[in-house]
Amino acid sequence: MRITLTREGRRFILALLVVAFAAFNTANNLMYLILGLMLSATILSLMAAYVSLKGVSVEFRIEEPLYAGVRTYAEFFVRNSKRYISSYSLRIELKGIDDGEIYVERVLPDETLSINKSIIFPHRGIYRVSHIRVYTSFPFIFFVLTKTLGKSKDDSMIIVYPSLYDVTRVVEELILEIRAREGIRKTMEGEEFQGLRDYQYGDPFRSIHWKATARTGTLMVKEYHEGKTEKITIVLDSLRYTDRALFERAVSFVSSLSAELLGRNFVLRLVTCQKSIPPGSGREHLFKILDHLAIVEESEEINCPFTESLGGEMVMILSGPDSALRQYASAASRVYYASNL
Amino acid sequence: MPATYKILTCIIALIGSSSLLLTEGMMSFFILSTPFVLTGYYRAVKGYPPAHRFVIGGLSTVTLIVFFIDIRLSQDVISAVGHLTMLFHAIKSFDIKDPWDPLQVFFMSLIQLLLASEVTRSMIFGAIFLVFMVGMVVAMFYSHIIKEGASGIRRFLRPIVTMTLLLIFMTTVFFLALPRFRGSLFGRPLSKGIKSGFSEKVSLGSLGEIKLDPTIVMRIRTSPMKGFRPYWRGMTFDIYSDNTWSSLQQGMRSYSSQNGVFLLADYDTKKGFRQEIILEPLETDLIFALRGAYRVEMESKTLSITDTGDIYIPKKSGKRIRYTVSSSNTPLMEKEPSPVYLQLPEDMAWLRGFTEGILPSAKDHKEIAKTIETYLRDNYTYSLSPSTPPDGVNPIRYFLLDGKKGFCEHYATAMVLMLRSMGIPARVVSGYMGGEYNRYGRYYIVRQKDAHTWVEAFIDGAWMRFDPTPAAEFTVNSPLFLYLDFLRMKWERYVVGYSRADQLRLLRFFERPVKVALWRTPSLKIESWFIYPLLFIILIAGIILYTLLLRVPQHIPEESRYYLKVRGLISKKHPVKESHTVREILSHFKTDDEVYPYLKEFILLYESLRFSGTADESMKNRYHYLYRILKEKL
Repeated sequence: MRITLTREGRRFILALLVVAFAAFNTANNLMYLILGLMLSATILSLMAAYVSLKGVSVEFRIEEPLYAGVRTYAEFFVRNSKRYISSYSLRIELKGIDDGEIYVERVLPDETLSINKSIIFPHRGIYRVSHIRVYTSFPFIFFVLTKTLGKSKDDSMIIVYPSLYDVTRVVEELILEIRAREGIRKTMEGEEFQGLRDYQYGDPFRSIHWKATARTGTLMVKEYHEGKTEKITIVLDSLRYTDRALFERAVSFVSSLSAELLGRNFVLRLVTCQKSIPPGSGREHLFKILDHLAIVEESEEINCPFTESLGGEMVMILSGPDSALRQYASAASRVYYASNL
Repeated sequence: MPATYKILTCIIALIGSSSLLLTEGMMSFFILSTPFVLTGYYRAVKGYPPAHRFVIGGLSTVTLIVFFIDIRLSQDVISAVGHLTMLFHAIKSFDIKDPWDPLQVFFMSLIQLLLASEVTRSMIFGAIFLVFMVGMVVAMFYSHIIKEGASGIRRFLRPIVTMTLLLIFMTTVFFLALPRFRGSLFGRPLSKGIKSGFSEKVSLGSLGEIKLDPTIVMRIRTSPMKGFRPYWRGMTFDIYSDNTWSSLQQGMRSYSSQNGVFLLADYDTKKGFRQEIILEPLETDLIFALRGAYRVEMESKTLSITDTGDIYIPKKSGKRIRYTVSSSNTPLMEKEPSPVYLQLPEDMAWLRGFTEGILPSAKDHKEIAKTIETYLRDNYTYSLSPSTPPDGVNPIRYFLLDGKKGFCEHYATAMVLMLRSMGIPARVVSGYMGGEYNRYGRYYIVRQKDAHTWVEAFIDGAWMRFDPTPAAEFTVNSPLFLYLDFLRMKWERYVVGYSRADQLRLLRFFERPVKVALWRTPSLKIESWFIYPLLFIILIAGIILYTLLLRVPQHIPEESRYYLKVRGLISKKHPVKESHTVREILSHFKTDDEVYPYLKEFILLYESLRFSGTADESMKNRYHYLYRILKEKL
C-alpha cells in the first residue's frame, strides 16, 4: 500500500509539529491534550484507511465488442472479504482507461457489490489495463492510501474498434454500380466447385481439401467458380496523411463499409499498406477486419503486396487525389477520398 | 455544500471562540464578534451569496491593523492573537463559498484552543476540548464526504461513532505516554498570582481585606483531622515595630532534592500526617503545610527552610504547584530561643501592668499563656471592620483598652506582645486555618478567607501554638458545589498536574504484575531493565497472535461460511443436528412457501459453488443475494 499526504494532511502535520514543539517546550498538559488529539487523528486516519482497503478485491467486466465513441457498460465487482468490518469510501480506477473510475461509499463485511459504470472509449485502439488502483482518503482527508491490484495478462487488453456509422446509401450505390457494370444479377444460391490449387496466404482454412493435402503432401484448397459469390476488396490507403483526422475518418468509413457489406453476405477482403486480410465473410470475419482496423496506423511505405491479383471488385479509399496509391485507382470499381467522406 | 455542514462549521467556530472566554479580557471581543458569526452563517445556510471580495479584503486589512494596535497597547501577544481569531471567524462567516472554507475555520478554532490551553487551566477547557473533539471528527468526515461526492452522512454514522470513541481513547493514551520535560524555553506564567498577604513585612490589619475573599488558595488531600482544626503554617514574624511585623529569617537552610524528595528530619513516617497539596499561584515563594514538616516531595531542585520552620521554594511560581509534605504536627522542639522573641516596642511598657492585671493566679508560663488566650477570646469581639484608632494612638493599645474589636492579627499581636511583656518568648505565625473538608474527594478546600495569624510561644523547651482569636462563623457549601470542586480537584491533579513522576508511577503500576510474577519464582532472576523489552516482546507477540487468529477463520471457504450461517438460522426454528444433510434440512421447509424456493435455490447454488468448481461471478452474486433474503425470512 502506498501512502500519499494530501494538501490538508501536509498542513495538519505541520501544525502537529508546531504543537508538539509548544507542548514539549511549555510542559503544558493542556497542550499535551491537543497534541494527543492531533497525533491520534493522524494515526487513526492511517489505520482507518488501511483497514478500509484491507481485504478489498475488485473484478471488472466490459461488454464487447467496443466501438470508439459509443457508450458501453463496465461491471465492477467490489468484494470486501473482511468478516466484521465494512470498507468505506473507496475509489476504484482502471489504470489505462481515462473514464474508468468509480466511487463506492460502503461495502459491508463479506459482501460483493456489483456496480455498473458507463464508459466511453473516445478512440479506437488497444487499451491496456495495467492494474486496478483502489484508493481512499477515508475517514479524514489527510492521507490517500492506495492499493494496487494486479491484472492478468489475458484480461489486461481491451480492443476498441473504430466507430461505425450508417453507410447504407453508400453501399447500395456501390452495389448498383458494380452490378450495372457487370450486367449480372447475382444471387447467393451456392458455390460451384471448379478445381484444386495450392494454398495461398489468406485462404480460409475451411477451403482446404484435406484428402488432396494428404495425398500431395502440400496444402491444397478447393477453388470455386467466380461469380457465384460477390467478392469485394477494400483497399485502405494508410500511407502518411496530411491530417490525422482524415485518416481516422477513412478508417471509420472502411469499418462501417465492411460491416455493411459483410452484413449483406459479401465476401470481403481488406488490404492496407501494412496488412492484407484474406477474403472471408460473416461476423467472425468482420471482427478480423475490425481487429486490424482498430490498430492500423499511418505508415511510410507499402508493406503489403496488394498489387497481386486482387480478384473481384475493388473499392479504394485514398487520402486524397495526391495519394501515392492513385496509380492503382484505374483498377478500382470505386474510389473514395478521405477528404470527401 | 449541505446546510448541516455550514451549521457544524458555525458551531466549531463558536466552540473555538468560547474556549478563549476562559481567559481574561476576551468577553468583549466575543460579544462583538458572535452576532456577526451567527448572521454570516445564517446567510450561508439560507443560500445568500458570500460578501463581495473587496468587502472581505477591506475588513481583513482593518482587522490586521486592529491586531497590531492591540499588540502595542496590551503588550500581550496571546490576547491579541485571540482577538484576531475571533474577528477572523466573524469575517469568514460571510465568505463561505467552497468546501475548503470550513477547513480554515476548523484550523482557526484549533489555534484558539491552543491559545486557551496556554492561558487557562480551567476544567471547562476539558469540556470544550471534548466537544471540539467530537465536532472535529464529524466535521472532518463531512469534509471527506463532500470531497468524495458521497450521497450523505447517514451511511457513515457508525464509523463516526467508532472513530470518536477511538479518538478519545487514543488521545488519553498519548496524553499519558508522551514524555514530559522540565522547564521551558518560551511561554508565560499562568497568571499574575493571587494576592497572598505574605511578605517579609506585614502591617497590622492587612489581612482584613483578604479575609473577605472566597478565592480558593489550595486543596489539601489528607485524612480528616477530627477534634482539632488544621493550621497550615506559612510564615513566622518576630519583630514588631511601627505597627508592622517583620521577619528576620535567621538561619536559612537549603536542601537538595534526592529524586524529588527532600528529607528535612528523621521521623517515624507512620506517625506523621501526609498532605498532598495543590497550591494556586500566589504572589509569594512560601509554601504551606502543617507544622513539623520532615519530608517534602516536589519537582524542584532545591528548597529552603528557616529555623522557624517556614518553607520556601527557589522562586515565586506563576503556575500551580503540587507537593506532598509529611509533618509531625507536634510542638517544635528547640534550644533556647533568640532574645529577638522578647522584643517589645518602646511605647509598650504599660503592657506588663495590663497583663499582670489579668493574671491573678497564673503560676507558670503555660498557665500564663492559656489565661491570656482565654482572656482575649472571651473579652474581645471578632470584627473584620474594627474602628480605626485616633491619630497617634497605638492600634494594639486601642484594641486592648478602647475598641475591643478586631480580627486575628489584632488578637495574635496583642497576645504575643503580652507574653513578651511577661518574659515569655513569642512570635506571630501566619498561614491558613482549617478550610472546608470535601467528603467526596477527601480533601480540604482552603480559601483566602481562611487566612489566619496565630501565636507560638516558647514554653518548656518547645514552640507551642495558641490561638486567641474567637471562632468565627463559617459557611458550608452545597453538596453540588463540593462535588464540582471534587471534579475540579481531579482535573487539576490528573490532567493539569500530570507529571513525569505520575508517568513513572503509572509505568510501575503496569509493570507490577510482571514483576511480582517473576520475582516470586526464585530460579528466575531477571533484572529490572529487562521488564521493558519483555513488555515490548509480549506486545508484539500479542499482535502477531491476534493477526493469526483473525486469519484462521478465513480458511473456511466463503460459500461454506454463508451456508453455516443459514444452518445456524434454521437451527433457531428447527432442531438441526451435525449429522443432518442439506436435503434433510430442506425437508423441514417443504410446506413453507415463503422460504422453501429460496432455500432450495440457495442449497443448489451452495453445492455447485462448493463442489462443482465451475462457479462464476453471477452465481456467487445470486448466492449472496439469496443469503440476504433468507436472513430476513428466517
